[in-house]
Formats: sequence, structure tokens, C-alpha cells
Amino acid sequence: MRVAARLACVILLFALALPSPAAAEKLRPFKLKSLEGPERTLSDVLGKATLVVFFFPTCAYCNAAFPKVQKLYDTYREQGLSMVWINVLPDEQKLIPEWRTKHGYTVPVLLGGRSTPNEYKVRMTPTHYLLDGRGEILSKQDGFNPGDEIRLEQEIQKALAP
Amino acid sequence: MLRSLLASLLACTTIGVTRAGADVIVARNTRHLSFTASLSPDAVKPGGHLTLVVDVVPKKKMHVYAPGTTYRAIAVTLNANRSLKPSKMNYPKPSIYLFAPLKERVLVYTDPFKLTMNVAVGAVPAQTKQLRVSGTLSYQACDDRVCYLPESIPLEWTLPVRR
Repeated sequence: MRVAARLACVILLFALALPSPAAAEKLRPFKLKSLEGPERTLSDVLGKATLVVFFFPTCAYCNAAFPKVQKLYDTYREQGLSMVWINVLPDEQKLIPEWRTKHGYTVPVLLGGRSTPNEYKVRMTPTHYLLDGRGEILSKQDGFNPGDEIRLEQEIQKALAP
Repeated sequence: MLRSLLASLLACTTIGVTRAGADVIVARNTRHLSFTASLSPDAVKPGGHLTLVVDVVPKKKMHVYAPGTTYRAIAVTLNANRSLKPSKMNYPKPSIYLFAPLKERVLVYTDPFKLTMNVAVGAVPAQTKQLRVSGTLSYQACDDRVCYLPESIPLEWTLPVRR
């Protein structure tokens, strides 16, 4: 009897130690003004897969990443990829329209407020979040070096796969 | 020896104001750099001047921008004070950083450097016993992979007025 009780305890402890199928982390919902004016929520922008990138226009690594990221948007949009870039520096907001035109970017831009960096724990840019159709975070990538777009593309392809 | 060691340690790890010799030092250690900002002499004399010296030590792989680029250059801004007239900040010669992803040459500081500023002291109201000098050190740092959000660090000194 005592042996059976001990065995039950061991099994219970073992079961508790196993990783549980915990719910994946979701990106905190947002409701932010778009560059064009109307507010957009996270639900509004969710696609089959969604890339949310936090940035500011004078961030050198954002400017290095965005031509490649725009290309990913152009390539996979038809397959269900949604994308938004969220500006985290309100005092650089006025630079965005010209910056966007100059580089030919068409990815929708949302305007973060002063609290956005804290709310999303953004300390550096660019910070990329790839989400699934329910807003769950599939991957996060901080910064950018040439070649990172290849990994990002593979993750997008995986997220869009039927 | 021990005192100077402690002063250096304070300068590297804390925010605060300490007195070392004739200077009044503000020290701060951030994720991107450490700095000490000192004002000398340690008292305000109407009609005299103050010298602000900021010694900045960028951390490993970090760079901050120098004036002359489209990026946010490191700067000290003193808040308006009727008794003080700050001159332009003196910057040391920056180095040129080749930002390979954009094939761009930018003016940066990667090694320890010193910023200086002269501040002329004008008339100080007769009843004023102490003068508060305040401002901010602002910069935006990047390393070899990411850019960090701009920082704006408050600076403040309170100096006695000696007539």
C-alpha cells in the first residue's frame, strides 16, 4: 500500500514537471491611429499571418530592414500576410509621410503613443513580431542584419502554409 | 586613493550628485554608456562663468551619433535660466562609421569622448543664495544589430552663489 502511494506521488510529481500545453502568448491588443487617420485595432489588421514591426523613421537598422520587409509584404500579401509598422517615437511622426514616399513603402503605418514602448516592452528597433491568425506570437526578432530576411521569410512561409 | 576609487565607482554605477575637488559631478550608467557631467567652479559668481564637462564612455559595440548626420546627435541642453547664458557645445572630432547595410558613412563616437560647454553667468538676484542649473543629456545609441530608443537623462546641479 505504501509503495503504491509513493509510486502515485512520483507519477504526480513527474506529470507536474512535464511542460504543459500552455496557451501561446498573444500580442497585447492595440487601438492606434493610422497614418491616414482612422484608428486600427490588432483585430482589424490580423491576417492568416501578421508581421507587426515597431520602428522609428531615423532608426538606421529599420531603414536597412524595411526594403526587404516591404518585399516580403509584396510577395506574400496575396497569400494572407498582413503587416503593420508601428512608430514608437511620436516626435518623429511628422517625418513619416515623406520618409514613406521617398522609399516607396506601402505597408500600413500606425502611430504609437508615448506609452507604446513601455506597453510592448520595446527597448530597441526594429522589433518584429510574427503572429498567427489569432494574434498569438509565433516569433520575435530584435534588430536586423543582412540575411535576417531569409529566416523571416521562412517563418512567414511556415505560418502561411495550409 | 580609496576616496578616488569610491568616487570612480560612484560615477560608474549611480545617478546622483557628488562633490570631488572643485567640481560638482552628476554620474550615470545606462545600458548604452556611462558618463559624468561636472560643473566647475563649485560656486556661481555673478559676471563669471561655469564650465560644463561631460565625459562619456560608450559601452562595447555601441555608438552614439555626432552632429552632422541625419541621426540624433548626442547633446546637452540646459534649461532656460535668466542668470545663465550657455555657449554652443564643443564636440571632439568624431569617427566615421561605415553602416554596411545602407552603405552609409556616419559620424559617431565609439570611444570615450568629452563634451564641453562654457556658461556665462550674468546678474544673479541679490536674494538668491543658490542657483539651480538643470538640463538634459540626450542621445540615441545603436550597436551592431539594433538601434535603441533615444534617451533623455536629466541633469541637475545646485551651486551656492558667492559674491
